Amino acid sequence: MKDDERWTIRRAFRLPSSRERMRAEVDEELEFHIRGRMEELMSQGVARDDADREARRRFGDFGRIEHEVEQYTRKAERRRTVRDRLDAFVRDVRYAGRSLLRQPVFSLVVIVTLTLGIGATAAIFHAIDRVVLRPLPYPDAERIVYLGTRWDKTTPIGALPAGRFQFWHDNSRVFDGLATYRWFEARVGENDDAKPIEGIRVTPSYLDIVGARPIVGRGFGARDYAPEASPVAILGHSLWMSGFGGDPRVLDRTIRLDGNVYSVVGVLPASFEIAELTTSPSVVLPLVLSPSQLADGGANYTTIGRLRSGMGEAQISRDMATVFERFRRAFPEHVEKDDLGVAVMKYTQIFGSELATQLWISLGATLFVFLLACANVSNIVFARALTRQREFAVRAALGAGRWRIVRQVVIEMMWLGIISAALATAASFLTVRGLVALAHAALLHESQLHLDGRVVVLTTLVALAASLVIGLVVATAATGADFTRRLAGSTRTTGFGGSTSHGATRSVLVGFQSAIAMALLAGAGLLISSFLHVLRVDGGFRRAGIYTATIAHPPRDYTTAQAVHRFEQHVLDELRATPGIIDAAATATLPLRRGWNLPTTVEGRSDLTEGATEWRAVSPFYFRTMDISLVAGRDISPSDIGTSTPIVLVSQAYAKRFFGNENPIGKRILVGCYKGCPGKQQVTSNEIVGVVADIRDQSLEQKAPRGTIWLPRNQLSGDLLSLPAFVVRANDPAIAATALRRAIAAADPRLATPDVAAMNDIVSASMSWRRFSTVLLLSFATLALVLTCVGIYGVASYSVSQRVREIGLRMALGAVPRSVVALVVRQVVTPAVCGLVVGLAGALWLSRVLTNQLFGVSPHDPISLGAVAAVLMVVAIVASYVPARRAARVDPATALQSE
Amino acid sequence: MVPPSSTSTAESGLGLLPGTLDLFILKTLSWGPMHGLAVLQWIERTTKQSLQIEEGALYPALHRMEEKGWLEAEWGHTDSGRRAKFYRVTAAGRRQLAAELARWNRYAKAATLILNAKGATP
Repeated sequence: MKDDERWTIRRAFRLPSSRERMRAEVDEELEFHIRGRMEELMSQGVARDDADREARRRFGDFGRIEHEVEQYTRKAERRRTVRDRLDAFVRDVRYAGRSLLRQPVFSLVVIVTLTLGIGATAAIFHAIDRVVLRPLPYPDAERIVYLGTRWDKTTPIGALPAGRFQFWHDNSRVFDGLATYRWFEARVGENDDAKPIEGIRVTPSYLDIVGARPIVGRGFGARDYAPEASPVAILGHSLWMSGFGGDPRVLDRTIRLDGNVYSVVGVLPASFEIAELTTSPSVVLPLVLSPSQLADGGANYTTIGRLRSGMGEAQISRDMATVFERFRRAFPEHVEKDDLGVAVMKYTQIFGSELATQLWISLGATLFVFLLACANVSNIVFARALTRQREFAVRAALGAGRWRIVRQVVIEMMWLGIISAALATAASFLTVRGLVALAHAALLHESQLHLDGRVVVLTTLVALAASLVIGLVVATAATGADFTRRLAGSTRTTGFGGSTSHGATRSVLVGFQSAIAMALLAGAGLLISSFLHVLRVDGGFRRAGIYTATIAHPPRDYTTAQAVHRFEQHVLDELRATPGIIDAAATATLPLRRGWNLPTTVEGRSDLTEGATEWRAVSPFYFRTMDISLVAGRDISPSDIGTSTPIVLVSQAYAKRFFGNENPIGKRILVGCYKGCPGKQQVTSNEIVGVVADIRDQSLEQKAPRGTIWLPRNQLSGDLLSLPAFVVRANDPAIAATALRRAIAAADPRLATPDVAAMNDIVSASMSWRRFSTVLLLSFATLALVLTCVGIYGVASYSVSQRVREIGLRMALGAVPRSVVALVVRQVVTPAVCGLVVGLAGALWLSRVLTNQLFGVSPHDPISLGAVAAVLMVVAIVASYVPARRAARVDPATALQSE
Repeated sequence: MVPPSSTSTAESGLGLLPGTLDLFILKTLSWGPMHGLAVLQWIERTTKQSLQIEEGALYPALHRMEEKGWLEAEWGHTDSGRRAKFYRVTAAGRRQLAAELARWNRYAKAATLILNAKGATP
């Protein structure tokens, strides 16, 4: 045992041997042998010279043996050095682990703090990586552009009317290809098992523009667009798999859509997707624009183009202007006064830009949170390092240098960092799930959000880098400057000014944290305020007690107006006869869902015209059911049918825009007509019989309601007519839902179960985007607040524990507890207030990025900012008050005796 | 396992079979720490000088075994007060000794059986 110890100590103090020393040792060992032998021989009576010769002879070739031995010695030495270093490292790591386990609270606080900071950052980076940094699904995506009409300088671009698409297609010179598509729904298969699918109809070259190459068969060619072409279809990958079992001979087969048979000519790859759509189309059909579609002014055609390579902004806008000029001359009736022609925007600019902005803002916020977390951890680690001076002193006395102690602290930090990284990765995964739930499927594909290696690596690197920096900075600071002085003397500082550098560091930390928390809270405060404003918006229609039913995928036979009207009347009669249903009506569009627009012109006044007027078509009693007030004239009556005079009701905004202070009732408007509209067939002249209050039915956040016309459903026919949505008013949601389902099933049992929703839920869903951004920023702000609270508490507690003696002294000299509390609180709150002011200034500057997301509040809203500042102040005071109270309870006698 | 140049044929007496030097050293040192010369003297005494070993060859073997971790070495003093390097067997060395002994015994037994056989049966 004793032997073992001696060996270990020898090993522990082994100094690296130089080459000479090694050689000398070997020589000494070998010479010892020869000399021993020689003496042995001499003791047997051999003469000294002979003994020496004999001993050397028996020993063998000295030089060779020495050389061999040395090789082993050197090898052993090398190995020993490596092993010793490794041993030392493993020992340090173990020691650090044990020392962390001895302080579980400290370790836990650091881990939780780091995990929160890193986890939030990882989650947002994750989302950004998927949504923003992810390339568009198109090859050479830089060249893909979106074309839309600009009605005026402020309106964002929409889609194009078919006529414009065709004209630009034929005349523009900057594109390799220009195409448009329309979305459609259809039922695939025979009648009984027909299931609804969604597909697109595309003009020639669409698939080339988006770079989609069929994996089986071919794309569309000119013959598929010829007048007498047989109907053909290209399958999406999912439909090929589900409907055809991935049959490679699918080209011999056909597909039945809404009863029409199409020959399958190709299958698209699984990777095919359309950037602006959340689901990939199941089937692609050729789109041939009919003369009536080309004449229609409605901007309903999503148009995309592939620019010729090397086309600059200037060339594009020059080309757009030229073609527009030509278009103006060719079709003057299709150009409005404020018409700015066709605008081009790159996909890379528009795609996901709203979400991207949101995510970049969030990333900024998480970086703040991350910095806060790091500041807190530094603070805690620093405090702990100071309380460990005795331990450091002992180790220093045993020969550990400053570097050794710094290394120890860094290794402890790395331990905590690695654990936090693991937890943060898990947390980011869960957070991303939450993000998806919050953002709704429309904003993010869930498939885009699974854990991948890049995020794990990034999280780990960030955690390790943060740990390394914190460990180095803190350990260097804690062991620096007066390290030796402190080792020599007391470990407690006494005066208030004492150890000023540490005090200042802490004040700066507190200030820094408050500033960051203030900036984040200000942002969150403004968004919450906006959210409350939106909640208070009265859309002008009733929400409580309104239940709606929409019918998806109606069968094809509802093509005639009679069929639709008969069905609609049947359902309404059924509903009105149901006990518990107060009112029932039908509408083409539900509020806050989708709207439609049409051109309108005041009859006889081609200057009073609009290219896109919002139109709604409703049954009688819709206004009564929805509590939309009639301002003047009469409501739609059951006697307004196809054979009677066409009527229309207009909204106040519409009346004001086109009739000013004149009474619009009795005037006529041309619906479907823009300006002179020569030779248009679908135009009707409708008499205005009433004026309806403005409602916000596109978005509650609409700045001003747009002018809207209301048409009686019973007078609609043709393209404008489709199966309606039904609304009922009832006190009991269950009764309403049952009644809606039963009435629709009774009118047509073939229909799929309708989608029933309460108006309140529709309103709530319409705010999901705002809720998403608010909740996101609010969570970061809350996190920041908690971290700041913990940080301030930590600083205050530490400062109290370091100054027990001084506080005792003050109290012995007559200070009352209240003044002690004030002293401690002031010391912490002062830097917090400074930070708050800096944070407020930063918030005023930063809130510009939020301007687009604010509603009803200015970015400098004093109430929101003031409330936030107040919350932060209260938190700072409470967080420092608790340790201050503890200080005030110090017993002077004990305090002075301590140490 | 065959240590380089650890054997030599002497003019008289038995030469060393390959691989046996390590075994002898381990066995000798298993009695307690010794310096190189003492190891050699112990082997001579025990074999009554019937084995001839090139004495120098002992040292590469000792150092090789030290490097392998079977032996540990330290400088100490002999009874006569002279500085010498002492070797002792480590735990790994003891395991090695046990393994080598078992192997040697099996080999010796097999060799004896063959060499003592009374003639082959057809």
